[in-house]
Amino acid sequence: MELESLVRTAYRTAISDKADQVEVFGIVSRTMSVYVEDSAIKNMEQKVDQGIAVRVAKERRLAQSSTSCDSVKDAEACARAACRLAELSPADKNFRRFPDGGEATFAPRVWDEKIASLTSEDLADLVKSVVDCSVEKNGTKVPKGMIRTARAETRIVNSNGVDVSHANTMAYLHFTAMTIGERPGEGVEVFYTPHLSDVDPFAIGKSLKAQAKASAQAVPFRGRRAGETLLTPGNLSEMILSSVGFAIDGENVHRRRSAWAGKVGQQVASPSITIVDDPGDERGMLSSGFDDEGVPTAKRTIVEKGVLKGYIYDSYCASLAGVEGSGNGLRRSAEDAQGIYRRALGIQPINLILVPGKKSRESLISSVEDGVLIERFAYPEVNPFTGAFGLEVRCGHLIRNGEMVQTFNRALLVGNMFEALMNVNEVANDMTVVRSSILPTVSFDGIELVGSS
Amino acid sequence: MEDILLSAVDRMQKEGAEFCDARYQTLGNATIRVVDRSVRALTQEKMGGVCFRARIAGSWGYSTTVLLDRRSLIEACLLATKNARLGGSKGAKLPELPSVNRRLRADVNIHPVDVPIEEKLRHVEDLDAALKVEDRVVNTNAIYNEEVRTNLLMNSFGSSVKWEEVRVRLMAYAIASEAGRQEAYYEFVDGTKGFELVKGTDIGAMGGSCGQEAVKMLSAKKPPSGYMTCISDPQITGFLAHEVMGHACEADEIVKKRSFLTGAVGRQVASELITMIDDGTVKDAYGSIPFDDEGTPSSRTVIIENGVYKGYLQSLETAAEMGVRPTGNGRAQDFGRRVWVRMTNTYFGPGDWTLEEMIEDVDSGILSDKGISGMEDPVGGGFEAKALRGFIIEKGKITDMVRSFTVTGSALQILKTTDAVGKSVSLDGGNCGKGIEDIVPVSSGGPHCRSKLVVGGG
Repeated sequence: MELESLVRTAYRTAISDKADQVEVFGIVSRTMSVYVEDSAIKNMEQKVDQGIAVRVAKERRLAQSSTSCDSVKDAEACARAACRLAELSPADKNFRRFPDGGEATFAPRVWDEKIASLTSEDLADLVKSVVDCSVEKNGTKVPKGMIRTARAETRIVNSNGVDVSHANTMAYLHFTAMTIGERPGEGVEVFYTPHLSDVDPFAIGKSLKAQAKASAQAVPFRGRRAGETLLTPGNLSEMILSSVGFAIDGENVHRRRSAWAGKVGQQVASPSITIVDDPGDERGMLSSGFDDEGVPTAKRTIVEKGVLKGYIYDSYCASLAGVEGSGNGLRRSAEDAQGIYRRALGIQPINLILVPGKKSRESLISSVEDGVLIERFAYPEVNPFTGAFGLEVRCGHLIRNGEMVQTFNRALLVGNMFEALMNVNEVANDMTVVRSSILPTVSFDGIELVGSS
Repeated sequence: MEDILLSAVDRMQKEGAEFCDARYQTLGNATIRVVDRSVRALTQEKMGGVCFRARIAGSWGYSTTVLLDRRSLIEACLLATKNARLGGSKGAKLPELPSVNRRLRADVNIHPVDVPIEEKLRHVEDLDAALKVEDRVVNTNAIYNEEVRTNLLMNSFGSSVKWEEVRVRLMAYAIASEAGRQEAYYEFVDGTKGFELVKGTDIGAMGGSCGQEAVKMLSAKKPPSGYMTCISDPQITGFLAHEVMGHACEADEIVKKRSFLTGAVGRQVASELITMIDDGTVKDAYGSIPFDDEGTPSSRTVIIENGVYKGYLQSLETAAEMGVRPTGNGRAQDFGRRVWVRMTNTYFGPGDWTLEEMIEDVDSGILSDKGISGMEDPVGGGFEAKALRGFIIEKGKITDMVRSFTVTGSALQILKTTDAVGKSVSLDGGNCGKGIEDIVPVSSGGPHCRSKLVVGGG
């Protein structure tokens, strides 16, 4: 059964069940994944997924039902379930209406025919290339790795005139390399792109080998220090998304959960920091002319030269705050196309871009007299409410007089992301796509590093 | 569906699969989220699909689909065998195991699908209202989630297993704010139980306590940083059990020698006070399963006994590679995800100390209180966990409350230096990813434990 028929069936069913307003989100996807273990292909997977999410309003009573969808019967049952739930829900005084239709002002090229038509044999060849470039006889192996490619077609219609389609492709790679020997070191490389031609097996392999070898030489960090700290894009992305991403979410602002509530027009970062959300950037995994409510998206400045300019919204929270929606109501994911219809609609940046400076990462390092560069944390999360973090460093480098002189581990990097953003020394230009962000290495001042004695 | 799955298994064998299985799964979820005394989400999810797996010479081919007509399913099972041929892994042949033929309903008193939405909604609204204990509580959130999962699995051993899993979770969190500072506190209950879990919870007390603790945290001080004595609470102890020791004893990491616990069986790896277990059969625990996603009955595995390493967690494949019995730990997030070795309920066993005795002995240190998250490190054996808050210990007494902090150290070093283990063990449910995906329900826990750790918080 075609997605279009399922979406239309669900829509008609909800209307005939006396829903005042209806929105149907549908997606069909084909995913291929290859998993590597011990430098050989272990699993090859192909997945077919199709589903819908139906949101209805009955006299301001709201509900959602979603289902994987194979037949008209599934679509009808899903729409009826949403209507039945809405009848049981209390009226929501904050709800006005689902968004009105609008024209997209751009259509970023995020469909790559090479990914769309990829065969499992093609993907196996690509995986073998990455492994070959990462393995060194008696030096490094690939204990695990994964490439996932997907193509997805999305359809959104609502009773207020939204009637949009979107198609995208994605490739997501996550590989580790490990040195062979008594005290193994490990490197991790994660790569995101909508375009297959961006995947460079040689560059991935080179980085993995270098990381693993450096990590094997790491010594536990002793003592404590506070000073210049360089955070690379792979780490900084999650730290920015979990702090800034949370703070600019219009619902968190409205409910006073955001540390940046009421701070529009105020200095929230150093003047070297400018952050925009750009849904038109073709490097971005979530780029699109529409969000997942069918609202046209637009490039927005979030922070300009350190000054907070505004927040992001879906249609419900825009109504709650009494402002225009910004087209940031999303279900989509940067890593996966499966089960997207099951996800609740939430406010997210589409491509949070930290505008680059002029120096390369190497040039930034060469200008550091006494500092550290953090290559890998256990997991770089930040307390979204307070900005506080204490992150275990799994691989870092001491920098002296512009040179990386020693690799270390077993340390905690302790600080506060909102304070750190006010203490930025410099921003590099090594722009890297990580999840829903594109950002470079940034040098911060005053973050504490604590060792084990 | 049974007929089609059986045909598919037969077909995959004819296509050359040395082992294969076919699993049809349905997932039904309901979520109610009430925020600031208003229903923010009332949702129902249904998902159903089939996963075919075929193994040829050490490599797996998977094919999954939500299209359930006979033709789509047969095409999908053929893809599984084709995909298996594209792999390059070598591996031991899976030994023929006795077939399992079982049908199991979830062992719950009140099946959540039998409870009217209105009743569920009323409990969640009551919980949200109870959180608002005073004006400094600026945001209240009450969330109910239920999941009903049905599985039908047939494999080339001749097994035919059908079972149901039910999980219920009720969670509250409150944000308190004063003078531009925000703090959050949470409480939750969960388990492989029915709606009796919610009915048996004192909603008013749960919400009221959560709101009050959020307010108390507004006066919490900045945590200290450095290497110090730390008494970990059952949640942080559980993170150590799960994240470092647990992930590192998943046998797929052992087979490829990625784990720091490779070759550890028979070695003294911890203080004699330490015993560690993974047990998928703990009644009502969030990570309990009657069968894993390969149809192997779940079991209790002793990982460390009195400090000595005993054994690993196994799937069908890793058990074949290591020449041992599978332990029922081959799990998948859902039919659309691969099966690999995963934990169930993982915890440290009890000692004989009371918490008061542990505190009395400490001249200077910290006591953690509730976890936020932890992260695995099977290669390096590093431990990292984030505590929601803690208390300073000075000269054998609890003094100031401190806000969120991180504890870290080498897991084996921590376990070797653990000098006091509490009497009382508790388990808390959660969702575990391997890397950053493939999420499965688990629980972890243990008693209070006293050891030396690096502590730091921003």
